[in-house]
Amino acid sequence: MEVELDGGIEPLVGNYMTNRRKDIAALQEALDGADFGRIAALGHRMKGNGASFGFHRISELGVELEDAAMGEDASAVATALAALSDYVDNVKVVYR
Amino acid sequence: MSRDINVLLVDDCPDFRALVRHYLRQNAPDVTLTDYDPEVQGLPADSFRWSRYDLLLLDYQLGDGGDGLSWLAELRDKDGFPPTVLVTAQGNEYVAVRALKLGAEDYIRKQDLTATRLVEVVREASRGRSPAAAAVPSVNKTTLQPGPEETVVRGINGYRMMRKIGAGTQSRIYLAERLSDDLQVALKIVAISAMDDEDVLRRFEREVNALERIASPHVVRLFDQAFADDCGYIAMEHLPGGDLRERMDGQFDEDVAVDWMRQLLQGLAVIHSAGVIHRDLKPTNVLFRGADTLVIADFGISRPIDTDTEHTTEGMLLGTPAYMSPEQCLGDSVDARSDLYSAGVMFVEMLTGLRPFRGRSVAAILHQHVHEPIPRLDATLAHQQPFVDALLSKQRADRPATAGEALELMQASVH
Repeated sequence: MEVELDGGIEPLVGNYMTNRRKDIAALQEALDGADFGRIAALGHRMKGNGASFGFHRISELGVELEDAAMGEDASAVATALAALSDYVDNVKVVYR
Repeated sequence: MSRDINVLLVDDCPDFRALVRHYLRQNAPDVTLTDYDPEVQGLPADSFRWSRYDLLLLDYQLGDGGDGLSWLAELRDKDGFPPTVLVTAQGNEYVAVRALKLGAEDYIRKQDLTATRLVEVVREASRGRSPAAAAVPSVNKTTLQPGPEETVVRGINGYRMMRKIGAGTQSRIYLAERLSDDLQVALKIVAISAMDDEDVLRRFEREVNALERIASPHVVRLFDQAFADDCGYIAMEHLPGGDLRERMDGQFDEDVAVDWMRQLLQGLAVIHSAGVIHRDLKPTNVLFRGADTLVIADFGISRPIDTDTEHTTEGMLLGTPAYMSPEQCLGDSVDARSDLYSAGVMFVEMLTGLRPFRGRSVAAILHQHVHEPIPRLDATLAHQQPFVDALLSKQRADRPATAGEALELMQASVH
């Protein structure tokens, strides 16, 4: 999977991905504790920051996490979390 | 001597705050940004000095810190409270309307944020509060006094205003909802006072006349037009898919460029058949309906073909230098072939990512349009060269006579 980003934000992208990895750990912890409020908040935050950086897939997964958490659907949260983890581990960034 | 524009950003997301800071540092060095983390700092105390800021960028959902709209309702009457722009990931028009009703100047969706859009919003919203912002000559204040905003505050009968989505020197464009059927429209408003300038009035009438005569999937649709108490307005199709400029960061696949050029020429064929010349074709005037349907918009300086035998307005060049035909550069009369030249410039830009004629000054660009040879395309695009050469011919007699002829010529160039 590949995403094309504005070269102007290259200095920020490393830190951005590090923060998503921290989010993944926080989401797993929240899922283990059935803390759906925390999951919804993290999902919502990703919805906003993903697209603003150009990571539209992260925004989509943020929406899925937020929706799943609002419905207290642990299975759907787990699915979205796995997809997020896969994306963060494998996305290739190219700059235009 | 102007001072900096001071902006306060209230947002619970550190990554978003970093992005805004980066964009402003790179593109608006006169803007000083102060971060405010609502989760850590909570609602500002009564003693908070709002007057230090020219603009507040306020997130809608503040994490554990609460709700931006509640903050706005609670804080907006504080002494020195600055103009506010709501920033949200929600993308919800209801939120936008609530924000505007609470006095927000504007509303940005995070997914729409670019450096250009951010700087534009900061300058526009802080105008009047900050001398630095007021000094930016992007709006002609003499022709906008009194501006259409006064009308907008009261609204246009039959429409519910939602948010500003564009501005020109004599007009403002708002996203609005038609009350009779909730249809979202782009409402272009020109103040009657601006129409005291005959040229502004003529342009308004031309735009209406042009749109009334044209029906094409590749031309923006007109729904309504009228004069209200102190303004004229045009209700047009709202096209939220962005413009061609936004998609021109780099070159496209040739197939995409050819497809979009075909749609552009199909739109031009209809426009010209209706007896109208656009005269200002450029990527920002080409919008998208949905993902891939290209739509020609902004007929503000268009003219009927049969009245365009004279020179352009005395001493004025109308159009955008990078896309102007040689005859426009020279102030000569224009015809349909002038629009084809502009389309040719856009086609080269789509194919290569670069405009064929670039320069450090307007004069240099105009000179190139008139005198410089047409640039050669790379070998991989050489089969498109005859088509490009035809469209960019210095003499209009050497260009295709119609958009239909240009379409045929393009078809012959597809390998």
